Amino acid sequence: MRKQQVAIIGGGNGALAFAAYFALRGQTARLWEFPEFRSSLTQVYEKKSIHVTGVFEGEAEVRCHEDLADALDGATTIMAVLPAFAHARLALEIAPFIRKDMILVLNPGRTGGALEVAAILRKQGIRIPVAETQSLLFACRRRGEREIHIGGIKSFLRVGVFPADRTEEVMSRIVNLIPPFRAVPDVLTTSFGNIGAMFHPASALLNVGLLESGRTYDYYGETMTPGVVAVIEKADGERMSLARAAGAEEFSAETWLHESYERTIESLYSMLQSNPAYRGIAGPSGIRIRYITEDVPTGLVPLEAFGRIYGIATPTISSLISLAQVLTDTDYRVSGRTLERLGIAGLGQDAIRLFLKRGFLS
Amino acid sequence: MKTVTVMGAGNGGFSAAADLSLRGFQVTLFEHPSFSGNIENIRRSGVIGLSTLPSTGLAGGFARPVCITTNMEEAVAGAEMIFVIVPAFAHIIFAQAMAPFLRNGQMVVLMPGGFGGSILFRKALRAAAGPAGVLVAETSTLPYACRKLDDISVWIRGRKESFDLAAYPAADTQQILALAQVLYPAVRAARNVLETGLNNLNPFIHPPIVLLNAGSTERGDRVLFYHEGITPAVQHLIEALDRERLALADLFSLSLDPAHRILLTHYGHQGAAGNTFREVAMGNPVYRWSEMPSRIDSRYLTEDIPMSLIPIRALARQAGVPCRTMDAVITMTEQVLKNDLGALARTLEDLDMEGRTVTEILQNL
Repeated sequence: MRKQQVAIIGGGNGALAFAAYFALRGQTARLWEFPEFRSSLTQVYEKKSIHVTGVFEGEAEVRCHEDLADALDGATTIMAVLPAFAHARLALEIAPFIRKDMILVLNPGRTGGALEVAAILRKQGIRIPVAETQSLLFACRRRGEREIHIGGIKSFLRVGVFPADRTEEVMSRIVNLIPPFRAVPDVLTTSFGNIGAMFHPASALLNVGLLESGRTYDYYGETMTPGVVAVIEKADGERMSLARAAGAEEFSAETWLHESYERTIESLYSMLQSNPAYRGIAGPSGIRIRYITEDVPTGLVPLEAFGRIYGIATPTISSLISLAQVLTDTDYRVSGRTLERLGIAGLGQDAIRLFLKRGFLS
Repeated sequence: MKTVTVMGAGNGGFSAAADLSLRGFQVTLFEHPSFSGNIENIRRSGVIGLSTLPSTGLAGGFARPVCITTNMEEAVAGAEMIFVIVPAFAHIIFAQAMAPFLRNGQMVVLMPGGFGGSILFRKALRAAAGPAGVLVAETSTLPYACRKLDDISVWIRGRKESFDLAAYPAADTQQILALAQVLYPAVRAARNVLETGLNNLNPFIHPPIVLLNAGSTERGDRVLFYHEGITPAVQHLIEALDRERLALADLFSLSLDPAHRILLTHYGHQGAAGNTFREVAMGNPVYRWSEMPSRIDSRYLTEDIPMSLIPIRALARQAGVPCRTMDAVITMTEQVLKNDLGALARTLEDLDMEGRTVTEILQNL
């Protein structure tokens, strides 16, 4: 395989895991993180290597860049591994350095990530393909300043490409890099497959007392009680109805857990309680946490908006958004991924289908 | 010596019967035959044990109601004042059961009425061919914070220093108030039953605390309802709901106090203080013992939502007042309970408010 240059944008667990993964597979991994978040990467930047344990073991050589321009120079694939609320900013920052031969992959895109980023790039006359994965490839955790433990890697992961007409072109370049990636017909399948947005806000909101109690707790084990899971199931039903109405691939949270973690299909409650991958995840403290500040504006808000287009009622999703808005004093329906930001405001179902396929309407 | 009947032998009924008896009134305590177990033991001894916190100013002791019965005719006959202290969803059932025995001039006070309780009560009375000259009113709240200790005694830890009463129609309020104040000097007149209904804080306080602690409840954590359950975000939700309550009240020309002020009027004399609901509730000595219900499907959701918050939201919606927070709380409750509470809820149609303007509604009240 020809040695490829991959630029990884981000500096969290996922970004380090990707950098290590590419380096150990013989690619050149270039890493760039927004300067204000770079402090946790001091040692990585200094030593230019990451120590990997878990499903891969070894010392991975990483090129660390101060300048975004340098990081992107010569790279053909850009892997964005960032909270979804940073995708818009990412698009603005990389725009000046984009070349026609580049592809951008959002890991993951949450709901509407590729559409939002493509809309921003389009305004600057840039039309590279933007892909989004349904979730993060790795189960990974930081174990030290430059130590990453990769506990698991998904055996298959859905990838949607915008515009869908360029799916083959993107996949032919990317599957060599990441064999588990599987193309889906378009980004509606990945965007409507946002399972995190089902699990996180409901469990956080119905456990606000616990989140603010200041005590340490096991996130999934303690927050996923029967009443909470009942709400998740309702929200998931709305999400699936939406996928069905839009002609996207429809799968339940249970199916997704089965696929992603090789768990036997049981009740959602049992699956959430018994999944070893969910054990020992220390719960966050407070309510300004990504389970709300990321999953609501880049998950529930666009899902609710798509519901209007496809005529699907989303009372559970809507009430989760409203509660989150009140609790955090944030109008996510304005600041989040609106249809305008996704570049599809005013489009009907047929126009959207055409737009997703070609990337333009006329 | 006034003769009073207390309908219902739950926490509130026990407290009222014991407190009023010890204060020298002749009290009859009635319980519905389906719940006769509630009065079985006190009927045998004729005594209700009353414990009180000294700060309530109420004396405890052995209270001897003159009559403890499951016979409605006996309970209603001769009572000058009848306090109905039952869950709001039983108001209509009690109206139907009382109708044959009520006489013109008798007074019925729902304590409290939920939202629109006395409107429904009066309509049910009429439908059951009860006498038209019965006076019907409701209070904004139960006069006590109390819990039964067992099946023969009750503990009153809070006595509300001021609460509202309004009759339906409001023209009857002064007449009922005159007698009610003899029994409860703290009661004051509200303008109409919208004021009592909107000054009932339960639906604006209980659901936020229960919902945002649903996980804890289901895990079986022991959480103190007010002292631990109102974290900053819970307080935030209570405030947002309270703003919607006040906005609706404004539209009906009622200038109501915010929730924390109401709490201060209730419990300031027992040591409550503070500037926000969270501060007042967490610092309220009366609330020191209040625990989170052991199940999420407690009356804090199953009564407060359908009997109050759903009809209040309907009124807000009809009047064009913001109600997004109420929406979120109601929908979330329905999802958590896997229950369509709307089917059981009081409706604007039930309350003769459907399709009416603010002026028409006020006129009718």
